[in-house]
Formats: sequence, structure tokens, C-alpha cells
Amino acid sequence: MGAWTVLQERQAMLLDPAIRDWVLIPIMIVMVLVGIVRHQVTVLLNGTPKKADLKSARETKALQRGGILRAHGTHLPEHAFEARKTFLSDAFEKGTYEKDPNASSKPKGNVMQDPAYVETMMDGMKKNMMNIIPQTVIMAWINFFFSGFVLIKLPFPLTIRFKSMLQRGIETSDMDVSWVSSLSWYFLNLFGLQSVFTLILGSGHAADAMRDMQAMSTMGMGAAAGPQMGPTGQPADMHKIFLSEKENLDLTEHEWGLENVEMRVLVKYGKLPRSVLVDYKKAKSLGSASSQSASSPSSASAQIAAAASSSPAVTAGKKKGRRQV
Amino acid sequence: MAVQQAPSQLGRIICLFGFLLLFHSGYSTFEHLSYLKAVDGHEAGLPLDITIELLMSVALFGLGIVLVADDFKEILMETEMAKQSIESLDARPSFYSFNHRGRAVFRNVVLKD
Amino acid sequence: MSGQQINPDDALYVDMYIAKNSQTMTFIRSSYSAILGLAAGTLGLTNWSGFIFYFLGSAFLSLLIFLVKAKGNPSPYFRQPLDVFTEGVLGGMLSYILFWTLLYGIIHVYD
Repeated sequence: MGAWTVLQERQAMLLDPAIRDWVLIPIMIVMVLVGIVRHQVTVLLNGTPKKADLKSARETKALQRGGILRAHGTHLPEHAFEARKTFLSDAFEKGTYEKDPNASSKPKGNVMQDPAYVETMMDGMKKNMMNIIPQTVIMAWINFFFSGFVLIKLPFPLTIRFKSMLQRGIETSDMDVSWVSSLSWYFLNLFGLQSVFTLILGSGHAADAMRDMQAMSTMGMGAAAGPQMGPTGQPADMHKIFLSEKENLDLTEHEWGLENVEMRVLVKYGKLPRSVLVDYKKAKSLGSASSQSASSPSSASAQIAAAASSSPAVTAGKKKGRRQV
Repeated sequence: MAVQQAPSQLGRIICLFGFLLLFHSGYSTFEHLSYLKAVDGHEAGLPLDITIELLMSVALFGLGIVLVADDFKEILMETEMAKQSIESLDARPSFYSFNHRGRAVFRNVVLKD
Repeated sequence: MSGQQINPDDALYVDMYIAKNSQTMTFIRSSYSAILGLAAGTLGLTNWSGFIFYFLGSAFLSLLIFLVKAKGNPSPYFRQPLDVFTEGVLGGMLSYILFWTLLYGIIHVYD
């Protein structure tokens, strides 16, 4: 630590204030202004949000309907659930909700000709261009005009590894890593001005670095109006998706939320011991194991009623409940 | 749904004051250092009054910014629902019935002009 | 008991307000980090003292937020009340470093 401070004292350099006036501040001002301009240009380029197409919306919503039925089927009685299940399975298989019933038969070669797909690609490309072009231009400008001299001293020390990156253009071997060139000032500004942009432009500004990273990972994905993109980049085959959803739906068994509700209410309010629920579960699993049919709540409940009424504790509890009622 | 809250005037004034104080102390530092360089003096740290002025400005700006910022909103759905009446939530216009007892009950009511 | 039950926590929080509170926190922290950076540069802090100054300043700001904005009780406004003290601190560090470097350079390095 002592040697480090001695080194720093030895390297107390004085820089020409002209550098400050003509490099330091102008670079910062330029970056702020370019950021603002980029934001406004992005807003102009995006224009009004696209109106969603009826058929595409219907397609996605129908798919979601299958998922919702699977997730919340407990709210429906069995007959309602089965009715919806058969209807949706049928519709998915026949393809009544698909936007373009002949899509699977079309050759996939001329993907470029599909106008909706092209628009999706253009949107993604526009966003990327708006981020890449200003960065490249400014970096080139800085490298051309402001290279080869020390710009500023960072107040904190860094390891030797950063020397080559931060002091590009200044070929000294002895100088502190803290004395950096203009390009590193550019990078410092790039990261530090993110929050300034958020303050000035509101949270949806186009210069968000987080958005850049997200945009790069989801490049090519369209909005709700665009066609769905598969992971390979080709328009996803909606028919296959519908078929897989149909299979999921077929696999779903209906569990009714109100099944055995009388017993549950009684247990909850302490009129029945909790063991009856355990007995019920055991009886139910036995019942469904012995009988092969998937839906046999009636037979199961008959067995449980028999089991419940035979258990003395339950009868005592039920009698007690009735008396108090 | 989001009502824009009028930014606190006091907060803005405090922010401005804090920033001006900061600027002033910054400029004093600059002048002080130039003076030291002019008379070839050794830099023995900032004078105490500038440091105090700096810290005061930072504290003042903190207070100001906290006053200027929008208030926090309660995130529990319950409190939000408590502000709404059942009539806006449970409306169901198709189920309105107009053929009810009100015709007889309010028959003799005279509305004030 | 049926397999899928209604999770009572699904509609417990107003998502829009959570996002709004987070936005407010970011606003407060980022603008304060910039000012802290300016102050640190003016003071001429270097190395560790600079970073310690940032954390002290952030702690002071957390205290102010806790007292003034959250009125001493942050739980109605945040899901985890301790978030008040930690949210946005690392995000502000980048702009703190920027302004710290800027002022340090202007005042202490240049002639």
C-alpha cells in the first residue's frame, strides 16, 4: 500500500485545461445529445402501434383457452369440463381456429415473401440498427480525433490487465493504469449515462442497455400481430402446436374443487376429525386402482360413504354435528 | 387511474438550494486549488468550511429529492379495493331491473330545482 | 383435497403500484448517486474512501427514504421491507463513478 501511494505521488501529472474544454466535456455533451436524438428517432420510426389481426388474435386466444381450461378446470363440474374438453380437442384437431388452414401444406421455401414475417424482421432490425449505429459512429469519431493522449485520471486504481484496454494508443509501460485515454472515457459515459437518460427521458427510453441485451436475445420475435416464430427462425407450424395442446388437454383429468366439500367443511370447522380426510384419500386411491375407468367419483364416493358410515368416530361426529345444527 | 401528484414545491426549492450550494462549494474548491498552485503552496486537503458546505449541500439535496419524488403507493390489493364501491365492480348492466318497487316508493318525491 | 387450488396470493398485490414504487426508488437513487459523485469528485476522494463515501451516502439516503417517504413503515409499499435499503444501490454506482471521475478530473487533475 505504501509503495502504491508513492507511485501515485510520483506520477502527479498536470494536464492542459484545453483537453478538458475540448475533449472531456464535448464527448459527454455529444453522448447525451446523441442519446436523446436516438430516443426521438426510435419513437418516430416505431410510429403508431400496429392493430392486431383478428385471425391471429383468435388463434393465440384459442390456444390460451386450452391452457386455461387445464389450469382452472377445478372450478367446473365434471360435465362442463368434459364438454369443453371434447369441443376444444375436436376444434384443435380440425384446425378451426387456425389462421391459415393450408399453412402446413405450403412450401416453406419462400419465407421472405410473407409480408407479415418481413415486417417482423424489419422491426427487430430497426431496433438493432438504432443501437449499433450511434455507438459505432461515436467510437470511430473518438478514435479518429481523440486518440493518442491521456485524458483523465480515474480516482480509483485498477489492475494491470486493464492497461491495454484503457490506454489504447498511449504506449507507455510505466504509467498508472488510472491515467486513461478518451475511449475509456467514452465507455465510462456509456454506462454512467444510462441512469441520466432514464431521468431525462422516462423509463421507456431507447438507450436502455438492459433493453439491448434483451433485444439481442429475442431477435426476430414478432409482436402479437406478427406470425409466431419457432426456435429455428421459421414460421412455427400452428397445426403442430394445436395438436400438442390437444394432447395435453386429452391427458388432463378432471378434479373437481367441490369434491368431498361436505367432509372438508365439517373437518375445517372441527365437527369431524381430520382422519376422515386421510381415509377418504386412501379409499379413493383404492377405488381408482381397482376400477380401471378414469372418472369414477360416484363409485368412489359410494365406497367412501360406506367407509365413513362404518367408522364409529365419524358417525359420532356426524351425529354430533346434526344435533348441534 | 394514475393521478399525477403535484411535485412538492418545498422539495424543489430544497433541491435547487442544495445543488447551488454544491456548485458553489465546487467552485470554491477550484478557486482554492488555483490559488494554491499560484502561490506554490502544498495541497493540505480542503479547507474545513468548504468540506462542511459540501456535506451540507449533499444532505440538503438528499432531503429535497426525497420530497420531490412521487409518494409510494400501497401495494396490497385490499387497500385498492377498499377505495372502490361495490357499484362500480359488480355492475352487470344487463341485469338491471327497472320494474321494481321504486315506482311506488318514490312516486310523490319532488326534485328540487 | 383437490390437486389444483386457488392460490390466495395471486391477486394479493397491485402489480402496477409495485412497478411504480420501484420506478420512484430508481429515480431517487440515480439522481442522488449523480450528486454524490459530484461531491466526491470535488472533495478529491480516491480509492477506497470514494467507495465508502458512496455507501455512506446511500445509507443516508435510505434513512431519509425510510423516514420521509415510507413514514417509518415500509411494509405497505414493498414486498420485502428491507428492499428499501438495498434497491437501486448498485445501479447508481455506475453514474456515481462517472460523475466522480468527471469532477475529480476537472478540479484536481487539470491545471
